[in-house]
Formats: sequence, C-alpha cells, structure tokens
Amino acid sequence: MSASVADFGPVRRPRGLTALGMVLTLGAFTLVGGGVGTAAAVAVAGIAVLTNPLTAFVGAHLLLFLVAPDIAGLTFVLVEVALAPLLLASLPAEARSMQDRLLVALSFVGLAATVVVVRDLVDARWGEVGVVVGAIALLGYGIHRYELVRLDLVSESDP
Amino acid sequence: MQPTRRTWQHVGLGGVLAGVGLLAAQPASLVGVAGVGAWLLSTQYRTTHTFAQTVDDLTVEVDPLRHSAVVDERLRVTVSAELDDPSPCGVTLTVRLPLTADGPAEADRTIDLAPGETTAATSFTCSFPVAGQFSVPDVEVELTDDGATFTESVTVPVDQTITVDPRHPRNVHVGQGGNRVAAAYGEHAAGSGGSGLVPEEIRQYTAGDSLDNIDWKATARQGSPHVRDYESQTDRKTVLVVDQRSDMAVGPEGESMLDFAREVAIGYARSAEELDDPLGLYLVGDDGIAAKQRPTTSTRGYRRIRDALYEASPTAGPAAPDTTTHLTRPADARRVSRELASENSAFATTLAPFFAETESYVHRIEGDPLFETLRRVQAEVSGTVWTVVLTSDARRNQLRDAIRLATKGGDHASVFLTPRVLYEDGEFADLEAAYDRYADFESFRVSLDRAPRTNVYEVGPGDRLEALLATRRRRS
Repeated sequence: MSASVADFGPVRRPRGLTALGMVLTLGAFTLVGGGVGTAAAVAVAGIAVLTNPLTAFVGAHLLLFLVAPDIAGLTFVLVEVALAPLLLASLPAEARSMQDRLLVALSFVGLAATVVVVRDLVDARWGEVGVVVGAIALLGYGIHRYELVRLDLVSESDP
Repeated sequence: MQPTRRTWQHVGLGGVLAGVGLLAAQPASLVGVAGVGAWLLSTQYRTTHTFAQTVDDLTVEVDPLRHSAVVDERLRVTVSAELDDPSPCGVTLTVRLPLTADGPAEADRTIDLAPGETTAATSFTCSFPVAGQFSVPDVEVELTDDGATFTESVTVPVDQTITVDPRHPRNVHVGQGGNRVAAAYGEHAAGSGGSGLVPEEIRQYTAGDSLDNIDWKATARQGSPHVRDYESQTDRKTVLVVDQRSDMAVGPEGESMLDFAREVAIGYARSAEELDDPLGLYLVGDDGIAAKQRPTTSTRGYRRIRDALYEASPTAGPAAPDTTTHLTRPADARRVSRELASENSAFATTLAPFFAETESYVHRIEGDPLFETLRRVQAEVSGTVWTVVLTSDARRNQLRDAIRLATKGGDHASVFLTPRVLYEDGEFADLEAAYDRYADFESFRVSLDRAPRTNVYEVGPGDRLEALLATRRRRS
C-alpha cells in the first residue's frame, strides 16, 4: 500500500533552476508558437508554481502539441533543452546536486535517444510507445531487484 | 521499495503523455514520457543508495532494564537509534513486542529520526502475563526519501532475550530474631538405625523399574507385570504440618504467607528425600485436615507430598482476628474470672458466668484445626516423631497449646512462623509501628522457643525484614 502524500511534508525544490526553466520555456515557446506559445509558456509557469516542476514539464509537452504540432529536428531539440531545467528541478533541493542531476540528464538523453531509434525501427505507433514504456519498466524492475539485494531483503527461497 | 501516492501521480502524468503519443503520433509526447521515466528511474536509483547508506549507518539498541522479570511485573525498555552520519531520509523505528507481552500502543514504541538528525531515543514499560523465555522481535525501520517518492521497510535484529519467571517467594528469610539460620533442616543422626525394608504397595511395572522388584504372585494374579515398592525404616519420622487456613493468604500474589511456608516445606521434603527420611504431610484447612500423607520413604510418596505442597492454596474461611489479647487459654480465662469476681460493676456481673466454667475451654481449643491435626498426628504416627509446623502468628495461644501437644512424650518440634507484619501489602506506612509489631512477634517467638524440645523460626521476605531491622538499628 502506498503512503499518502499527506503523510509527508512539502518538498523543497531548487527555485533557481525552476525559474530558469520557466524563462527558457517562455523563450522557446514564443519562438515556435508566437503569442499562443507565450500564453502556453505562462500556463506552464503557472503549473510549475502551483504544483511542481515535473508536472509543468509534462504540461509543457502536452501544450507543445497545440503550440507547434509539426515541430521536428533541431527546433524540437532546442525546445527540449529549454524544458530540461524543469526536469532537473524536479529533484529535491537536498539532493546531491551535480551527481543526481547529471543522472537525470543522462537518463533523459538515453531514453530520448531510444525514442528516436524506435521511431526509425518500428512502424506501428503502439509499438513505439510500448518499447519506450517497456524499457522504463524493465529498468525500474532491475533497480528494484538491486535494491532488494542491497538491503538484504531477498530471502533464499526467492527466485 | 513502495512508491508513494505522489509518485503514482507522476507516473499517471507520464501515462497521459504516452496516451497522447499513441493517439496523435507526436514525438514530443514520447520524449515527455522519456523525461518522466528518467526522473522516475534516477529517483529510484538515488533512493536505493540513500536507503542502503542509511541502514548501514544505523545502530539500534533495545535495552530492557533487566533481562529477567516475574509475571506481570512492569519492565522498562529503552530504545535508542543512532546514525553515523546525518541522512536525507526520514527514519521511523517501531519496536515490536513478543506476542504475549502487554505493552503501550505502537505510537509509544516508535521513535522518529527526522532528516538530518542523528540520534533519538524513547522508553516504555511492558509486562508479561505468562512465564517463559521471550526474544524481542526485530525492530521495524521505515525509511522515506527526501522527495517523499518512495518508502521502504527493513528490520534490524535485536539480540535480546527476556526471561519471565512465575511469581514465587524470593529472598526467603528463615531465622531467629532477624538472624538467618544456615540450615534449619538437613543431615541428622539416624538414631538406632533402620530395621530393613518394609513393603509399601504393589503397583504396575513401568519402564525403568528393577526386575528384582517384580512381585511374581501379584503379576500372576493381575495378568500383567507388577512390582512391589518398599520403604526403608528409620526411627525418626518427620511430619510436616502446613497451615493453609485463610490467615495464610496475607501477602501479594505469589508471595503470601503460604507461599513462603511452602518454600520451606518443599525444602524439607527435598532434604528428607535425599536422606531417605520418612516424611509425612498434613495440610491444615479452616475446616480440618485438607490433605494427608502418612510418613513414607517411597519415591512416589515424596512426589505426592511435593505435589500436595505445590497445589496447596489458602482455604476459604473467616479471617482470624488478632488474638494477642484474646482469652483463649484456660490460664487467661481463670485470671479474668478472678478479676471479675473482685468487681461489683454491672459489666463484671454480666460477664462472670462466661468465665465460670474455665475448664470447658479445653473443648473449645480442641476444635482448633491445627490442634486437632497435631492430635491426629500423635494418634496416627507411631515412634519418634519430629513435627515441623508451618503456620502464622495469627492464633498465638492456640499455637502455643498445639506445640505443647506436639512435643508431648519426648518428641521434637520445629515451628516456622510467618509474622503477619512482614506480609501485609505495600510499603510500611508507619515503620515505627511496624517494628513494634515485629518486636511483639519476636517476643512471642522467643517465648515459644523456650518450650522444651521446640525450635521456633521466623519465615518471611528478607528485604522487608531488613527494613524493620534498620529501624531497630536507628533506635539504638
């Protein structure tokens, strides 16, 4: 059973990184979407302030579909770079900053690269989504097993 | 590792992005899914390391104040947790108790180490309603990461065992005037020696019995192997007369007068068995003899005596008044009769008839269960008898007469008295008054001890007696 959010206090997040993400998002969205892009960027900033940077990151990708439906190539990469600070700001402020954020960044680059490769290799749309989600689930399960071993929670009868 | 609801919310957002990517063929949505996945995996990996480091740094100590207790005794347990280095995790430790233990609610057995804290401690009390040896279960440690995204529960072993003993008298003092006697019973001269083996009873053969003891005639009669038990015969027989009247119920549970008397009686029984002394037992209840075993030297007989002693409990009956000033001896009655005769008051006139027939008092004392029991012992046990009486000091005059009866005809008696003042509940509210009562008891004991062939000892909790004797030392 998962714990309730109410069980935990508020999580402090790095405000500087969040602000940087909002500014870059504003610039990138304005660049690719004009006035609509600016409005979407303001909405993303609002989400970041009201909820958390990760939700804002997700919201930005949903709004990007409205702002620039046909975005691709270098422009798309630049927009993702502009959104990256929001993703990095989603870690708690107490996290070991450089090491942990580098881990998030590398994971993001790796999974994004997987998306690019999969799009070239798999024709079916559901196949693309399945491979990406499956890769995340597989890696998550691997870390889970590693955790069980590391904390000595694996009994001898476990497979 | 269990995700929190906060984590599931983020996973749900990733699912929405995946759905949009599936419906709209948008690469941006899939990259967004990759972003959420990157956050999830890196957080999971980072949390795993943090949890492992925290568990490695954690030292938990569960320290009962004592490792032994008696049933229902409150036992204080101190719990402390220490981290070598501050951790970003929140750590909650919950001490679990053995299933049979009675303890406080879980919240009172829990300590929290907030992120950054390195030490925490708490203490609580628990008790055990049953006797036995109990291992303290592992301490449950719940970890929560600094982003409140994952929790994990691990256990830390606690190598602690608590032994719970049944309630029984401890620090049993047997002595005279506050001085312990090393051995009120034990090896003694065997007298003129035994006269061989006396058949006691025939019983069915059981594994371990010597084949030499098989009674072939009885075996032929019964159709199955039977053996004949013998008892050796010595001149002196020991008879335990244990008072289990309601007076003996005074004292805390497991440490009543009867419990202390029982300890002494069982010591006698063991000693007699080791020395092959003939041993008998009479249990005195409020209405007469509650149990009886004539002197025996058989193993089964000794066992029956021990079983009867263990099972003895105070019988129901009216509590005895403090009889130190009651007129229950003929001599006292005659004295009061003389005093009343010299008075002309209405009070003396009214009471005089009750003291006129002073000799009838002997019939009344014959109704005393202890006296009656000793009379029965005299009648039933032949030869030299060493009577061991274990009783309280509640009925002093009856006791005096009963002991006189027991030592009639050259027999010896050992009397073990449980002074009521040493057993009454709680601490001594008035130490001086309690000492005065003990001094009164002691003078009674000494007067009884002066009787020929009689040794009188006091039996009681040593710590309480020591408290009274400290008062005497202060006075002097």
